[in-house]
Amino acid sequence: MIGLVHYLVFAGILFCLGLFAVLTRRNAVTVLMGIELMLNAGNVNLVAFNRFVGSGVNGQIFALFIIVLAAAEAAVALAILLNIYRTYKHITVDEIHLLRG
Amino acid sequence: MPHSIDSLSFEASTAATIESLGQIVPELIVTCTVLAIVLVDLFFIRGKGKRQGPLEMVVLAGMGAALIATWAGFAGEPRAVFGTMMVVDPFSSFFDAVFLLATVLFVFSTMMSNEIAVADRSEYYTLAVGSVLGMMLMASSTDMVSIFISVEFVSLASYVMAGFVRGDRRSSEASLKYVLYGSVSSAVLLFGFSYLYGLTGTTSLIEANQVLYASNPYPLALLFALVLVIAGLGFKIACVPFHFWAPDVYEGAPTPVTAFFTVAPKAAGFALLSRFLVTLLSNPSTSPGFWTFLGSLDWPLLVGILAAGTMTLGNFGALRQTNMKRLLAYSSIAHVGFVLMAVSTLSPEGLHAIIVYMAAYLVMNLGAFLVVIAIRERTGSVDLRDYDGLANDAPMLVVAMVVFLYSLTGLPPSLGFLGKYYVFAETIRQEIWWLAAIGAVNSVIALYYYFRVAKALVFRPLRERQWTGAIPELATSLSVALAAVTLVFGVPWGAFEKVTTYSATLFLGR
Repeated sequence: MIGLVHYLVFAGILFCLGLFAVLTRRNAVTVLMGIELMLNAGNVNLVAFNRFVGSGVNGQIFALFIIVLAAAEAAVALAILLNIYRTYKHITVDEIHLLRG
Repeated sequence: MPHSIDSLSFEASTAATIESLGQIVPELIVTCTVLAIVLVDLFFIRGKGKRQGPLEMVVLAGMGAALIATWAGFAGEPRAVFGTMMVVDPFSSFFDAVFLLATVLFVFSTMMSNEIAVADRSEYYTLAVGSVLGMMLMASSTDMVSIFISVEFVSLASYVMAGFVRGDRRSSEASLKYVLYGSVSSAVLLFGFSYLYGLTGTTSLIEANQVLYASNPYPLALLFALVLVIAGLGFKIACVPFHFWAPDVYEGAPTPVTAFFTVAPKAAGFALLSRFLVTLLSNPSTSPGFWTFLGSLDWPLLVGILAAGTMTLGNFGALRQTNMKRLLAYSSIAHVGFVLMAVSTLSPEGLHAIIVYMAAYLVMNLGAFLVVIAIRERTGSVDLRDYDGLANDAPMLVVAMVVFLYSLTGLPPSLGFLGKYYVFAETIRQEIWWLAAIGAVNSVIALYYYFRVAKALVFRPLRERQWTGAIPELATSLSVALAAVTLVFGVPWGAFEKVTTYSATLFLGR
C-alpha cells in the first residue's frame, strides 16, 4: 500500500536531485531544469498532504498556482538566457563572472 | 463534502469578494496605473517621437493617488480581506506608503539618468509599478498561497529590471545571477511551505498559528520546515548566509534600479518576514508588550545570530570596495543586519523599530543613490577614485551626500540615528546584550567606509578631466530636500512617533 511516507520520500529525493543539478551543472538551461525539479517536489508534497492530512482542496489549489508560477518563471528565465547568449555567445554559468569582489 | 459549492454559497462568496475589493483601494489604483502606462504608451507616445514626460506623469499621478488612498485608509480598523488571504492593517498601510514613496523617487532618479533608453521606458515602468503591486500584496499577505504568489510577482519583475540594459554584459550577468539564485530560493521557500501545510493542514497563517498553539506533535519536522522558509525569505532580504547574490546584482543592474532594489523589495521582505514570524510563530496569550515564541524553533535566537552575521559581513565587505554601487550594496546588507536585530526582539516595540528604520533607510539610501546617479552623469563613472574633490564642482550635492553618509552611519541628529536608537533601545530592553554589543561595534566599523567617501569628496583635490555631462538640476534640489528631511526628522517629533507607533499594529486574528 502506498502511503504518505512514500510520497514524502519521493518528493525529498526529487528536491535533492534538483538541488544537485543546480549546484553541479554548468549549463544554465540544465540549472533551470534542476529548479523545475525542486518546485515540483514542493507540488508533490502539497498534493500528497492534501490527500492524507488536510481537508478541502487548499493544497491542490496551491499546487495549481505553483504550476502556473513555474511556467512564468521559466519564461522569464529563458528570455534572460537568450539575452545572455546574445551578449556572451555561450550560456556556461561559471564563465560569466565580470562581477565579483 | 465540506467544500461542495452550491449556488447560494457561491453568491455569498462573490459578494464577500466584491466587498473585499473595496478594502484594497491603493492596490487597485496601482493596478490601474500599470494598465494606464501601457495604454498611454500605445495611444499617445508610440510612433510620435519618444520623449520624456507623459509616462512619468502617469506613474507619479498613480503613485500620488495611491498614497492618498493609503493615508485615507490608514486609521481604519485592522481587518482580514478575501477570507484570510490578506489583511489590511496600519502595518501594511505604512509599508504601502514606503513602496509608493520609493517609486516616486525611483521615477525621478530614472528621469535624471541616461542608463535607461527613453524608448524602453514604458516596459520599464510597467515592470516597476507591477512589482510595487506585488510588494503591497507581500506586506499584507497572511496565507502561504498569497505570500508565495506575491513574492514571485516581485521577483519576476525584478529579474527583468536587473537586466534591462540589453547588450550590456554587466547588466545581463546581474539578471542571470538574480534569476538563477532567486528561483532556487523560491523553490526552497515553497518546499518549506509544503511541509508547513502538511504539519498544520491549512495554508492560512492565522489558522496554522491556532493549530500549532493547540498541539505541536512533530517539533523536528516543524524545525526543518521553518529553516527552509527562513532561508527562502532570508534570500529575498539578502541576509547572511544568503547574501552572496546582492553585491553582484546591485553592481550590474542600472543605477536607478539598484536604488529601487535596495529599498522597496527589501522593505517588502521585512514586512513579510516580520508578519510571518509574528502571525504564525508567536504565542497568542501573553501580556501586552511581550510575545513569546511558539514551536520548536527558538527563532528569535536564530534571527539574532543571522543579524549579527549579516551586519558584520556586510560591513567588512564594504570596507574594501572602490565601486560606489558595490559599496552601497554591502552597506545595504549591513543595514539588513540592524533591521533583523529589531526582528529578533520579538515585541511590538521591535516592530516599531523596524518601521522607523525602514522609513529612515528609504530617505537616506535613496538620497545617497540620487547623488551617485547625478555624479555618474557628470563624470561617467561610479568609481570612488573619480569622486576626488567633487565638492569644488558641485558643492550643494556634496553637502547633501555628506548628510546622507552621516545618517547612514547613524550619528545624531539624523533619521539614521533615530532608526538605530529604537533598534538598540529595544534590544537592550529585552536584555539581548551580546547582540547590542555586536551592533555597537559594527556602527563604528561603518563610520570608516562612509567617511572614506566623504573624505574623497571634500578633502581631496579636484583632478583635471573630461566631463561627460552636467549635474541634473533636479538631482541637486531633490537631494538637498531629502537631506533636509534627514536632519529635520532626526529630532524625534511627537507626530512622527505617534504615526510609527500606530503603524506597528498588526491584525493577528486573535
